[in-house]
Amino acid sequence: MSPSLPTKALRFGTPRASSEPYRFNWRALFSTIVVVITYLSQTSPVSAQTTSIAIWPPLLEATIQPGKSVTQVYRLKNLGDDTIITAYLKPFSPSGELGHVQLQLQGQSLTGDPANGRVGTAKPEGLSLLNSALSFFSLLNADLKTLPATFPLKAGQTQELVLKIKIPEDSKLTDHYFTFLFDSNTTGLVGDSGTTTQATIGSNILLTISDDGQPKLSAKIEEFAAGQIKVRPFLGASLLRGIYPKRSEGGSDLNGDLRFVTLNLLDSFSPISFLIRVKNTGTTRLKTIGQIELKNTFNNPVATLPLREDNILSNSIRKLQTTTDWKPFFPLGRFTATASITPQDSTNTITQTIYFFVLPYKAILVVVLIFLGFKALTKSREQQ
Amino acid sequence: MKTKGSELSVSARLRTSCQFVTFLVGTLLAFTTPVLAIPNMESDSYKLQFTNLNMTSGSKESTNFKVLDTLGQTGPGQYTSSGYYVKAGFPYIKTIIDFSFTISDLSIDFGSLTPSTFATQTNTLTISAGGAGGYSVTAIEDHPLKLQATATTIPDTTCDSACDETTAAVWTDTANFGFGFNLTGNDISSDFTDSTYFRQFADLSLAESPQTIMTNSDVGSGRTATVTYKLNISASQAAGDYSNQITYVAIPTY
Repeated sequence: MSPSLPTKALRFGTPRASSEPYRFNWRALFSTIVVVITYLSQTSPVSAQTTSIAIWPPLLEATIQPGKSVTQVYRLKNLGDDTIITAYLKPFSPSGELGHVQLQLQGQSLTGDPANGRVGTAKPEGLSLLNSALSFFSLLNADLKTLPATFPLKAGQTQELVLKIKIPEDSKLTDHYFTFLFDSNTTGLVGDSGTTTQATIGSNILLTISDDGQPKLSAKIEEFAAGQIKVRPFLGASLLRGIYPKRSEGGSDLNGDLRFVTLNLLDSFSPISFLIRVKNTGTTRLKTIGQIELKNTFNNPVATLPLREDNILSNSIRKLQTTTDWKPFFPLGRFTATASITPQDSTNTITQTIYFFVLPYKAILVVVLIFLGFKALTKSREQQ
Repeated sequence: MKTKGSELSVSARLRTSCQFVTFLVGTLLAFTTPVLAIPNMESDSYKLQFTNLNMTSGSKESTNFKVLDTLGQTGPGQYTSSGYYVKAGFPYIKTIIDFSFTISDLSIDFGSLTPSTFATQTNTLTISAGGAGGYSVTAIEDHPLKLQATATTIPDTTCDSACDETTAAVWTDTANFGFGFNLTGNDISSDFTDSTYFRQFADLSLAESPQTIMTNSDVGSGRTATVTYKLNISASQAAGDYSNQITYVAIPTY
């Protein structure tokens, strides 16, 4: 009986005679393990220091009576390296008309301009009001009570912060807009000349102080238009004035200097979009609920485009967006678009109607140019 | 019998060897597997509830309260009583979505600098809102690159023609010195026409306002931009290590 059959398949190292007793090669095993460990330690990726933080909720909307308080849990995740977090609040004002914020930094005022979405000027008393409103906020964590708060956050760790908003009894009934900011201070090392970078993440707070929870809301459609083109009035502005497109009340078809005419003329083969700018004329933020209803030449409804429920801060303008696009198959003719907007929790519906033409004018233009070119070529040949 | 005994001995040794190798591999894996930190959810005097998977969403109201809650709402954050109401989360996406911001590399090291030779380094900025909500990212430096413990600085670039913290311009001429940055990727400012266009960082020491470098008003998920930092010094620049700090602030829309 030969023992070679089971051992041949398993043995490694120097071949041995079949009569030689089996000796396990511990040296080979040890060497292999050392090599594997050395390889792993040498090839482990040396990753650069990163910072990655996530916050929830990204937006808090609160309406509170004077004398009442609310709490909200903020969840902060560290998806990067170990870091030190500093949490604090800053007032903000609207930046642009798309819902972005401009933080009020130390030494800089909230004074805005129409280009920045805010209409009018913030008064100095408004600034002091905002800064005093910072005292409304505190933390309810066992180890974190006041703001700003600094705490370590290890890689992979989640920290929950309980933010308390307490409104004093004598608070003025008004809005306050803040961003809850979290500075991530991860130590970056630069050996030579260089730059270290730092990340800050924010979450917005829209705070309304109201006695009855139903502040008066009012809005106005500043602009409502479909895609427009500007052309020179080759037939005279007065002639075009009597034709479409026609803007509804408050709008104007023609530029004042009559050098250009704005036509609500859309191409049948191009995407059709709408511009709608709404101004919050009240002193309290509002959320827009509404839609754009489209009717064709025969006054039949062809589409309803819901508007995204965006917040418009007091005394500011916001461009609204539809939640769905209108993608008709070869639209043609005169269309009517009616925008209807009702601020949430109110019955003050505002509407505006526009008319526009949809024609394949680009294709027509190409055909006309080809025809004219062909005609010119034919005429040239005839003359030759 | 001798042969049989030899076979048993080999088998036993192999079994022992396998156990030993398994032990070693297990030990190795234990040391190389990332150790996940456990979230600190409570302290001696306060205990926070876990995420409340209530599996509902939408508006709820009665005569006393009105709430727009979101699926997976963290427990204590969405309660109501008389005298207030609270809404948390993205207003038009009724789900629990974090807003996150990542910087790939915090240290931008230019190494040893050679006069009239561009030195460049990059990192990436990533914003994710899980497909919900717009955002903007601003940038500002604490001061121009400064020689440590002195007032000597490397000025911010003015590019080949004229650029500042709000407007980018072409910067390819090594005769023009300074420090600036370029952006490529998603949602970047439109003045970064291509990789030759650079801007200065807004300078906090000059009371300049942070400048928007990425922005999107629509839904965004995994929006990434690469920042290229560029530095060029003159031969007369004082020797030493220059440094500054740049802060990126990411804020969702309201």
